[in-house]
Amino acid sequence: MSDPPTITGFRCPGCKIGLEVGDSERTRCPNCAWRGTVMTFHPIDLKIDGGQAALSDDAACVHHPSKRAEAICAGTGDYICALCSIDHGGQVFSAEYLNTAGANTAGKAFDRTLDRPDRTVRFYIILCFIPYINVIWYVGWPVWVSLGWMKLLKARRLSKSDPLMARLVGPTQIVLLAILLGVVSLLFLVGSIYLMLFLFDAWSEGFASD
Amino acid sequence: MAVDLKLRNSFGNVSIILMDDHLVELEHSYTSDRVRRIRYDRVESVVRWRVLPLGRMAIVGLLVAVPGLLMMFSSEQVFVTMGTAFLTIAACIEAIYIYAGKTHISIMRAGREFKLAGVVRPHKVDRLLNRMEADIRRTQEEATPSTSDESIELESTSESTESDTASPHIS
Ligand SMILES: [Zn+2]
Ligand SMILES: [Zn+2]
Repeated sequence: MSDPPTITGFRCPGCKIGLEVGDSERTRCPNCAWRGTVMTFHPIDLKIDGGQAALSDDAACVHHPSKRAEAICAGTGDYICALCSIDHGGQVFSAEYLNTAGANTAGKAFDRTLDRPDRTVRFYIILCFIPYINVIWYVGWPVWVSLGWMKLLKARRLSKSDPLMARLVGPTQIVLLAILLGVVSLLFLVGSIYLMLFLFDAWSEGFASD
Repeated sequence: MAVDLKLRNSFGNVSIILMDDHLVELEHSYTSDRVRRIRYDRVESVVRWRVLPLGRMAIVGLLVAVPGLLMMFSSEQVFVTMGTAFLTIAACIEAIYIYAGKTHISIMRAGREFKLAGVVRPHKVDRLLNRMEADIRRTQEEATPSTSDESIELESTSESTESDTASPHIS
């Protein structure tokens, strides 16, 4: 039952030498005059425990010789036990690999991208007002607007299910975007009706003068 | 409150959101964000310092202050007025830069360093770091008993380790 290790040192961001943390959070590097505040914590060691005990004819985990191997690490090719294996994108890596050699490559793979339908909605709304796109593609407008509504619904769904999206897109933002999209949709409808009336007028006048 | 801190730097906009037991860093692009999560459990240290954003200050100087200064030498009243306006704007922007400074935050977690940087007002950084410090200490304290009570809570420890590894947090 040892206490978790207390971190007492850090690396100076200015000159990279190791420094001890003093009593106060404010620290100054004697070597390069770097100044800043340092907070240190009690990090928890990744405790690897449990797992299936290996029987005599089982392949054993390379990190835990007493545990039965359940998978092969995609990074190192080692036999690893259930506790060592981390599933990512259909591939299994060992925790050991991800913490050492694979830290950078696998780290990038673990970077997730978050779809932002709320921002796509804004993009579609702007598209409606770019003249060139809409002169050529008058049909484009209903496409952008309906795509916008679809994305808005998606944003609303995500903000309810994903806690991260909930922080990024609040209900007020959804309502505001809906109002904006509504105005754009209305503009399109009014514009279309007006255009149709205009064409009809022109057509009947042309018909009359014949 | 939506986002806890917004950082603007030359590489793009970054938002920071504090969740219960981890920090989320979002790198914004047009229709998606890159998400990085830093779990608090193995955070070793958080270092914060401030420098003058010299690059930005130089750009503002070149684009706003220098033209303004040149206009001051003109004999036309219009140009002199414009020059004064330019110089005032430049002085205001530089003053903001000097006041806010460019804040660097470096988080060491399990031997890896995560860096954040940008021009932000100091009190916003203070607020963020205060909350983050409290969250880290709480997370680490909460997790400590279950790791030292090996004999009793073997079952639950293995479960928690599994769920821990199932949601990869190495970013
Ligand atoms: Zn130094
Ligand atoms: Zn193992």
